[in-house]
Amino acid sequence: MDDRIKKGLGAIVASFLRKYAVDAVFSNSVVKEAMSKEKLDQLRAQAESELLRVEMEGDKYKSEVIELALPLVEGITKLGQTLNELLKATTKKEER
Amino acid sequence: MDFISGFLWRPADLRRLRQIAGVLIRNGLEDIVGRFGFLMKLRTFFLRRPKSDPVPLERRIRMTFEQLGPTFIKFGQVLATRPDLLPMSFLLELRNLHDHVAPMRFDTVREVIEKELGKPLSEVFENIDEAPIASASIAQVHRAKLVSGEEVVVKVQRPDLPQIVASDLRILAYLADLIERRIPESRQFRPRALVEEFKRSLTRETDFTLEMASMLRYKENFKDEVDLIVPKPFQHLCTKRLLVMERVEGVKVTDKEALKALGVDLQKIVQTGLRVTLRSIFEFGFFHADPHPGNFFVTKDNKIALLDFGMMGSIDQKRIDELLTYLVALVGKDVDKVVDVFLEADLIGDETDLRSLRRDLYSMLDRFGDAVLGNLDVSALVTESASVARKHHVVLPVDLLLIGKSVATMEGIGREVYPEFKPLEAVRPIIAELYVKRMLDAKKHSEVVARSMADILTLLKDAPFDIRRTLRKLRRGELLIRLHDPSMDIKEKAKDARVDRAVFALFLPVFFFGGVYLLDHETLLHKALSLVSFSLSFFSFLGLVWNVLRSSERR
Repeated sequence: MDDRIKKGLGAIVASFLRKYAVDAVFSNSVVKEAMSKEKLDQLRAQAESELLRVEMEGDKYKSEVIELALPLVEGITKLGQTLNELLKATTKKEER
Repeated sequence: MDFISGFLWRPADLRRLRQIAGVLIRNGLEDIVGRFGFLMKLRTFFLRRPKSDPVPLERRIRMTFEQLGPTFIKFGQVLATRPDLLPMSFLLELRNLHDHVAPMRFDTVREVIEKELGKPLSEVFENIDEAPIASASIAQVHRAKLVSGEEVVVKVQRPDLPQIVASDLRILAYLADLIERRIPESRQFRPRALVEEFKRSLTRETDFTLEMASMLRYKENFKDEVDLIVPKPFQHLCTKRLLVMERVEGVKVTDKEALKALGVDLQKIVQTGLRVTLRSIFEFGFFHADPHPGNFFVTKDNKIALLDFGMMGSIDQKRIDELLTYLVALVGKDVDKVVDVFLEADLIGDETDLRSLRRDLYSMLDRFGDAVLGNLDVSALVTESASVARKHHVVLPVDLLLIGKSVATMEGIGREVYPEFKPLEAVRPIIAELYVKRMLDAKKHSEVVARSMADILTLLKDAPFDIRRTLRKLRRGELLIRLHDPSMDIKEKAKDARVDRAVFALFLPVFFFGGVYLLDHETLLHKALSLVSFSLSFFSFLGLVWNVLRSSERR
């Protein structure tokens, strides 16, 4: 895969993880109970700064990934619709 | 079938098979031999062992493996790591399997080395100790010094090993096939698959170039782990049957006296061992699958040296995620999550009663959860998890069991070397940290997203062709949809039975009245035909009765 796409994708994923997954992971009771408060804070800071680094690194390529992904999403949606229509048409033909 | 006929043409294999039957019978396992056919049954009659000495079955099986030699000993050692297949009493007995092999003569060692390197010993080694430092069924190890000055150890494979292993593997495969066909109760242990898997592992273990590659990979993975030593192999001197590697001076991790004399920090040693074991599994998915204490050395500067990379295990990223989620669920006593992992990993068959599985898991976790944090026996937890899985037809993958063995061995070493060691207390933070790092690994997640994007692209690219092909088949009436309804099988069988019954019912009066008609005639031929006709009518009657009885049994 192209390095820019790799970095752009990494940035999108990192931004998602930083905003939505970090809290969930660190509020897991098994994680909380396994480490001291200091260790947890240290690990969290480390994880967040790494995610931020990946996000910054690929920030300028994010738009390229979106440009690539949008037609794919559009394509798969259209394929789904086509198959659905086809299935409906076949079922109607069978019924007749 | 080809394999079996190929096997039967080899006189040496036949001799070996007879020998195996003899050993089985002498150890009181004639019941197994008897199931292999009439000739074998006859053999059990002559070789049967007197019943006066009641040796437990487990020990007799262990003795059988020992008497059958290296391949069978290795096979027994592999079985000893399968709590999902065998009950605890068998596992404990098989763990005592040892190979009693005489060391190779040095002349033979020299011959193998020179043949492998294609030059005289003195051109490569300044000196080599004639007495081995270790000797086992696959190879033996000698100290040596290279002409370039490095201190090394040389692992030399036994010259006749490939032939012995090949023959024994053929026989094992043949026996597994026979056992699976003739002894229905053995099928739950999947003997054929088990032998196939053993064959793969032993074949890998007997190719030292693969061991060298494993050493290099492990060394690269742990280049940041300052407290671990992985000996450096000398690649230009390694072949399929010869392995030359850097010599590490140290003492065995289980040699308490020597460790005391060395004055090392035992707690640190145990923590390093556990960290390396867990990282190798959950960070790299590439781990030592034969981590017996003899493979761990401790150096005077508080480092661990890992030896023998012949048996390695590997797991893919998806399995690592499943396993981490499983462990976090296990430690958090979240039974529903444990069952979810089993379901998602496709380990649960149709015959599993999920409610009963959940109940057993609850009761197991309750029992282990009550143990004081530090006193939890990880090894017992692994074994009990495997037996719960066995009971409920959950097919645990082999890599999972190897991991269980790996962690349990490390725990055992920890308890022995440093009795104050508290396994769960030590494992929890490491697992939790690995879990956090993995869950928040942007690179790993973006690789998964990239793979999905590539899949979508392929799907879109192929879609017009696939749709066109499906439509063409539909137009031609060639589209075949297979449906399987098990109830139809029963109906089909019932239909067959009804047809059979009708045939018998039709023939019975035909032959009977035919017989009566022929009886009226005086000639001998008519009388004979009448007898035949009566007999046929009698057999038709028996057939009818048998058919009716069988149908009612099925219902």
